[in-house]
Amino acid sequence: MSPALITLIVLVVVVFLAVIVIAGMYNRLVTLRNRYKNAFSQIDVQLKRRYDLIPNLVEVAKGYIKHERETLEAVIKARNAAYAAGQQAARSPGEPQAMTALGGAEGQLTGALGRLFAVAEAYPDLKANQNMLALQEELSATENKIAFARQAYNDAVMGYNTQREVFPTTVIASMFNFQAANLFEVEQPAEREAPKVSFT
Amino acid sequence: MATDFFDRQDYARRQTTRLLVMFVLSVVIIILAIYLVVAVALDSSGARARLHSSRPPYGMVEQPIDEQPMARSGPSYWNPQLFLWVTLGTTAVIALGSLYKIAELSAGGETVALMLGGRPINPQTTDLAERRLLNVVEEMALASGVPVPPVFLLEQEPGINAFAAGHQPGDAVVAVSAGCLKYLTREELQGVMGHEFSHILNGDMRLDLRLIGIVNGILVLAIVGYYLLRSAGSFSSSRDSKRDDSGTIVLILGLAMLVLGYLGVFLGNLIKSAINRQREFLADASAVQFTRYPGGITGALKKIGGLSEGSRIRDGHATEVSHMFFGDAFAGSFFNLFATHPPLAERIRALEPDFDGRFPEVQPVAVTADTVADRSRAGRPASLEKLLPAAAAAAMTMDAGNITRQIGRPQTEHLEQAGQMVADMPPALMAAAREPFAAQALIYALLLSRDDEATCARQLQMLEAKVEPPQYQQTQQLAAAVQSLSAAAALPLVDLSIPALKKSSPQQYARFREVVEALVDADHKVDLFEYSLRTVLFSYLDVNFGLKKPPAVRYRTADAVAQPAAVILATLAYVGQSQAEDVQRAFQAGAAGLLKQATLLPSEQCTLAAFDAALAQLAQASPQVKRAIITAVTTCIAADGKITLKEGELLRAVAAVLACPVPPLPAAMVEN
Repeated sequence: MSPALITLIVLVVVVFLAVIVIAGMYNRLVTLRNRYKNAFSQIDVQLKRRYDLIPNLVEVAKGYIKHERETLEAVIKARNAAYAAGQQAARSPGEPQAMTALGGAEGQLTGALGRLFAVAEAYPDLKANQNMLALQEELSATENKIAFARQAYNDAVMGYNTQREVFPTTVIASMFNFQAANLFEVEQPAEREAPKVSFT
Repeated sequence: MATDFFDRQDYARRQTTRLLVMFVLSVVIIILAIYLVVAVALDSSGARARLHSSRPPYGMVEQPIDEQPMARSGPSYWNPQLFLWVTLGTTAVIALGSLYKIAELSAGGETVALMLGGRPINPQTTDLAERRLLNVVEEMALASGVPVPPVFLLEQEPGINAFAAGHQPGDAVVAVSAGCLKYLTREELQGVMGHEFSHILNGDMRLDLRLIGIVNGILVLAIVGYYLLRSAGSFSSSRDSKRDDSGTIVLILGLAMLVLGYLGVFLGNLIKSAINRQREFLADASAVQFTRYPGGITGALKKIGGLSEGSRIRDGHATEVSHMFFGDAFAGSFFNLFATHPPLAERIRALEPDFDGRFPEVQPVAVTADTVADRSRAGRPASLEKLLPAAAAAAMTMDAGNITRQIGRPQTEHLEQAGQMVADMPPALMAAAREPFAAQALIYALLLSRDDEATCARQLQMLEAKVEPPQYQQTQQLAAAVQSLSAAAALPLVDLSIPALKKSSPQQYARFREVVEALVDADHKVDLFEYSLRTVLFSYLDVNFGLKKPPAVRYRTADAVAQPAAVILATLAYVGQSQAEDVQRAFQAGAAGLLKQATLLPSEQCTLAAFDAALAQLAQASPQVKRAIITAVTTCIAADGKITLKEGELLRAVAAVLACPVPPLPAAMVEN
C-alpha cells in the first residue's frame, strides 16, 4: 500500500465528512427558512380575512356617518394599501422591504380603524347596529389570531436568523446567499389625534 | 390478507430486516469488487513499474513488507492491509451517505412534503376544493383513530398523484397534487386517501424512509467515484511518473466506484420496486374495505390512465421518493422491473375484474358546496343504506377480539360515524379547532371543570394570569359552547385540533403545555378525563415538537411487561366497576389471555401516576405484545358488556401511547 493511496483515502474521507457537515448545515437553514415562510402563510390567511371584513364594515358605517366622511375614505385607502403590501409580502415572506412596508401599512390601517371607531362613538344608532357589532366582534377576533400567528412567525424568523448568524453556519449562509429575514412588526400608530367632537 | 394491524406492522418490520440483509449483502459484493479492481490495478502498475522504471522495483515502495507476498507468489491478489482499507473506506462512504439521508429525513413527513414543493393547506381555507379535501382527511383520521395529519398541496403538479410520509401516525403528512383536486370527485378522493391512510396504518412509511436512506448511501459511493475520476485528471497531468501511477490507480478506483455504485443503485431500486408493488395492491384493497365503494379508487385510477399527464410528478426529487406515491411518478417507465407500482389496468382489475382496459377522457370536476361537507352517497349501493344500522351493530359488537381486529383497519361504519361526528360538532368549536390561536383556547376550555364551580373559578383565575387577555376571552367564549358538547365528543375534538396546534411555534407550544399542566393540576388531583386528554394531546405533539422521541422496542414477550400490564388492567377494572366482585371478574377476564398469574392489585396501588408509568413501559413493547395488551384491555373493559365513557377515554389514552389507532367506539355502546 503506497502512502499516496493512504493519503488519498484519508483525503477522500475528510472531504466527504466535510461535505456531509456542510450539507447538514445547508439543510438546516433550508428547513428553518421553509418554517418561517409557512408561518407567514398562517398570517396571510387571517390578514385576507381582515381585508375582506373592512369594506363591509365601512359599508354599514356609511349609512350612519353623515359627517367625517374622510375617516371612511381613509380606512378604505389604508385597507387597499395594506392589501397591496400584504400581497407583496406573501410573494416573498421575510424580505426586509416587503415586511417593513407591510408593518407600516398595517399600522396605518389600525390607526385609521381606531379613528373610525372613535367617530362611531358619536352615533349611538351605529353602535347599536347588529351588523356593526358582529363585524366589530369578528374583526377583533381576527386581529387576535393575527397577533398569535405573527408571534409564531417572529419566533420562526428568530430561529432562522440565529442559525444564520452563528459560526460555522454563517459561512454556509453567506456562501449560498441565505438572506436575513425580517420580523413582522406593526408600527403602533401614535395616538396624536384626539377623537373629534362632532357638532350635530 | 387475513392479518390484522399488528401482523402488518410486524410484516413491515420484517421487510425492513430483509431489506437490511439484502443491503449488507450488496455492500459486501461492492467491497469485494472494488478490492479486486484495485488489487489488479496495483499489481499491474507494480509490474509496469518493474518493467519501465530504471530504479529497482521496490525503490518506490516505502512499505516493502506489504509487497513481499506479491513478490513471492507472483500475481497473488490477497493483500490484507489493502482489503482493510477498501472495506473501511467503502463502508464509511456508504454508511455516512445512508445515515446522512436518514438523518435528513428524520424530521418526518413534513421535510419530504416540503422537499417536493408542497404547500401546507391552511386548515381554515375557504377554497371549496381544498376544504373538501381537508374534510375527507379529517373523516378518515377520526374513523381510523389517528391524529389528523397536516395536508400538503403540490401546486406545481398537474397530474393525479398523492403520498403519505412520516415515521408513525403522529408525524405523518399527506400530500396531493393539484390534479387531484381538479379532476377527482369526492368519492375518488376518498379512495385515494383511503389508500394513503392504509400506508400510514400499515407502517409502510417508516420502511419508505429507510429505503430512501439506504439507496442514497450507495448513490453517494457512485458520486465519490465520479469526483475521484475527475480529480484523477489533475493527478495524471503531472509529469512525475510515480504520480502518474497513482493517478492511474485513482482513475481505476474512481471508475470502479462509479460503475459499482450505479450498479448498486440499480439493485437498490430493484429491491425497492419489488417490495413496493405488493404493498400497493394491499393499500388499494384496504381503501375499498375502508370506503366499501370500489368505484372511488378505481375511478381515480382510471382518471390517471385517461389523463395525458397521468400520475407524473415533475419535481426533480420525485425519483428519491417514487415508491411512496399513489401512482407511478414516472409515466413512461418501460421496464416493468423498475416500475414502483403495478400497471394501472392490473390494479383496476384487482378491484373490478371486468374492466375493459379503456380509460375515459378526463374533465375537471366542479366542486359544489354540498360535496364539500356532506358525504354525498350517490353511487353507493342503496341497500347498504338500509343495511347500515344492522351492519354497524354487527361490525361493532362488544367482542374484544373484534375491536383488536379493527385497529388500523377501520370499516365503512367508522367512516360514517366519523362523518356524523364532524357534522354534529358545533360549528364554532369546529372553526376553533382549525386555527392555532383558538385551538389552544379550545383545549383550555375543554379542561375547565364542569361540575366543580370552585375549581372552575380557580382555573379561570390561573388562566387569566397565565395567558394573554385575548386568548382568555376566547377561552371564555368557547367554554359556553363546550358546556353543551356531549362528553363523548371531547376527545375527537382534541384529535381535530392537533394539526392546528402543530402550527404554533416551539415557544408557543412550551407555554401552551405549561398552561395545560397547570389547568389539569388546578384541583391538585388529575381526573380520568384530564389524564386521557393530556395523554392523547401530548403523546402526539411532544413528538412533533421534538420533546420526545418515539419509543424503541424493548420488550418482546408478554412476560417482560407482566407487571405494568397488571397495573393497567387493575386500574381499568376499578374504573369501570363499582362492586368488588365485578372488579375481580373484569380484571380476571382481561388478565386471562395475557398474564400467567393474575392477582388484582389493591386499589391504592392503582393511581393514575402508576398507570402513566406502566403505560410508558408498555409503549416499548413489540407489536405482537401490544396486540395482546390491547386485547386484554378491551376484554377487561367489555367484561360487563358495556363500555363506560371513562373506560372509552382511557382506552383512547392507552391506544395513543401504544400508537395503536383504535377506531371510535360505537356511540350506542358508550354509556354516559
